[in-house]
Amino acid sequence: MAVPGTRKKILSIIEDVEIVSNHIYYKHIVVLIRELLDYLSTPKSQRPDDIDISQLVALLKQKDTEMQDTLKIAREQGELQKKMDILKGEVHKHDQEIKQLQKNLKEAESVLSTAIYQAKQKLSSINQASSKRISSEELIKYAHKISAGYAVAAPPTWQPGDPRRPYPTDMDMRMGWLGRRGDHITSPALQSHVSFPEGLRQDHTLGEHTIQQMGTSAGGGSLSWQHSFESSLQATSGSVGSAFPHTLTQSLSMENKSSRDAEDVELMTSDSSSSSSSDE
Amino acid sequence: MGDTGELVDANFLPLIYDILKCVERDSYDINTKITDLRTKLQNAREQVEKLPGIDFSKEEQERQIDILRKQLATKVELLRKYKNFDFSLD
Repeated sequence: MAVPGTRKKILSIIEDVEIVSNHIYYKHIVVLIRELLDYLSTPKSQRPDDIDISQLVALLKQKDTEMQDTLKIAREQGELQKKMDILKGEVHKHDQEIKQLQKNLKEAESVLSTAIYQAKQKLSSINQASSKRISSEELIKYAHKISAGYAVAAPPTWQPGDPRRPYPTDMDMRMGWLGRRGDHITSPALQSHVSFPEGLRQDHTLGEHTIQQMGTSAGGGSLSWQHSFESSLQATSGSVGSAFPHTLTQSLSMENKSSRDAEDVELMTSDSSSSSSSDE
Repeated sequence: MGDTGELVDANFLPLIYDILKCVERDSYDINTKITDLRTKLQNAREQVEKLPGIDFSKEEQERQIDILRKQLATKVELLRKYKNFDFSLD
């Protein structure tokens, strides 16, 4: 059977006190007092209601003692309650710490699982690369191949040996209208080109065509731009040179003569060559 | 009643004694004394209601404290274990 709490005990005692006091001063108070007075005036041996009154007084005293004991226990329990509150606070604090720790561990777990997943993917990539091994020499060779010919942005029909570039070369610029205009201003030798723009256009197309032809014919050879260009020049001045109009040969010979301009061309065109050779 | 300490004013005996004296003397103060006793009893009840930690018996309370102490020790140990845990994958 569960032991009743101290609060209930004290309240029960207070109620008992009230009942006893009510019993004393409501029901029998007058009679009892009268009898008590009679009782006090009579000798001890002749007291008729001795048990009843003494029982009530004894009960009252007993309740008083009980009350004091119980209140003493209540005081001790108050102290225990303070300890209990402190303990509860500590337990709550530790609970919070454990929860925070668990939260951190969960976060770490998710981060680690992501890292492991990525690492596994990388490992599979590494295994795949190891199984299909390509030598670095091959890769570097291919890189030079595409970088020497500016093939990174070349047209789709571009092939090794094709002198076409994805941008106008210095030669193209010089053969253009702007270049010729500049020559007209600076060099009187090119006045004829300016005065005959139609012939110039024809020369230019023919020159390009020839360069392309020579480039494709020299396909398996060197990938260097200068080489193909030189061979196209030789071809132009040799076999096809007689068929070429005077303007192109003149301009090309002028190009060869002008050492400074040639250096510029070298500088402009050797960008890719220098980069590729530096790789080697 | 005797000394009840500062928690609850449960000193009822003097008032009961006063009432008995009033009855003995046929005093008109008896109603006042009875009202005082009732008020004191009611105040004592209210004070007892406000007392902390007496919902259970002392034995039960001590048992709860023991449980709390064990819980705290377990949690402290758990935290210590977590904090000193070696997470290396060796």
